[in-house]
Amino acid sequence: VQKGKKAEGQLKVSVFYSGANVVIQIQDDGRGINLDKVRECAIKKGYIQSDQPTSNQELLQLILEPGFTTSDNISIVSGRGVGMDVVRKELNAVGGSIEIETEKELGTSITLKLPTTLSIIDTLMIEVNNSPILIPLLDVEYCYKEKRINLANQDNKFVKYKNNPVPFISLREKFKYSDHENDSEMVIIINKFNNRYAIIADKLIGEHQAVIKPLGELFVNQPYFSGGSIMVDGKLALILDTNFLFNQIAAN
Amino acid sequence: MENSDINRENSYINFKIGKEYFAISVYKVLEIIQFEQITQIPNSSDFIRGVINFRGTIVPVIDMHKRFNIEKPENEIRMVVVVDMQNKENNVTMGLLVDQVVNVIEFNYKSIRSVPDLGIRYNPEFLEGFVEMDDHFIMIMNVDRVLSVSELSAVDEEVRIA
Repeated sequence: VQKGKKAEGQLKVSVFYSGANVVIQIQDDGRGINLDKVRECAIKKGYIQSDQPTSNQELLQLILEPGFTTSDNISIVSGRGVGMDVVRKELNAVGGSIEIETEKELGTSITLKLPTTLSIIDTLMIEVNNSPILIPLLDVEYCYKEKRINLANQDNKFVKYKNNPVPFISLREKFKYSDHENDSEMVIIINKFNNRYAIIADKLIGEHQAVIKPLGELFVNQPYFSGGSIMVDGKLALILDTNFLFNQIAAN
Repeated sequence: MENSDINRENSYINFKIGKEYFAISVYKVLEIIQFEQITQIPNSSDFIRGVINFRGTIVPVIDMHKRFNIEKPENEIRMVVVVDMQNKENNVTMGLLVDQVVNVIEFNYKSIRSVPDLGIRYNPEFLEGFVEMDDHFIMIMNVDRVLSVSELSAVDEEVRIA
């Protein structure tokens, strides 16, 4: 209340699809995680050396360690540092991940990512550099063909859609493929939480019902694709993570 | 384990990467397939050639020329040796892109000699040893080390942010 917040705390839980993942995001508007305290406890318990520099992200990861707690009042069940460890173990077992972000005085956000391994989603299949890419149909608002020059000759990367400028990302550019010769491109308008952006691809193939398969451990560090799908001819198509692209555009 | 009886002959798959001969224990190998269509994954490690559909699951294919720093010969028939490797507690299936699978060879575990640290172009940790056969050396690959998940999944920081 002193910080100009409401007396009641607010807990926001949002659940949404991100490519082939289901994302559960829990945000509070509390005081945030006290990183100094986490560091202090970590040193005391021997997780880190007292002179070892740590990034905030490293400290936040420590919260997930078994038996790690900053709580001063430990009861039989609560404050023993078990909860977050269990969450992480369960997530790892199903191939998910957990991310924690915290802002002092503003609150904490915990994001759980779960792969939807056994689900079927409707997707739109596009093609970039002869490789098929799938976009969840829920995210697609509109598609149209555009002349190449209209997209190339501008400094601000915007397309005009319903009289509004919409920022675009060229997948060919993003994935560092060499340029192509076609004189037209496909523009796919993506609508994410009522924010729009456009994806530029070579071709539109059509709708595709995709059984999502995980890409596996080797690709955990590549953020663009959240899964793959086997097509009728045995080839693989990759499922684009529309959230990641959105966050990238939002960050710029 | 397969090496429990020290006097037994063990079977290995013998294949070529460039001009060099390598071998992997048959126990590791699931299947050998023709290299046909592959799906590239942009912004992944250079060592990863792409992914294939192997018995209904997505399996990464590792470019052995890149991994072993061996020049690619032109117009060779390429084969994919699908192996199971051990990563911590999990089994991970991966494909090795090689030039040619030669045959299955058998030799005694005792005939394996250790690798000299000098004079090879790639990481000596990648090998368990070598044997001499038909006037050439056959390098025995340490599959779990060559296919280290942490090394192969590493992506330039630049790529992740870009």
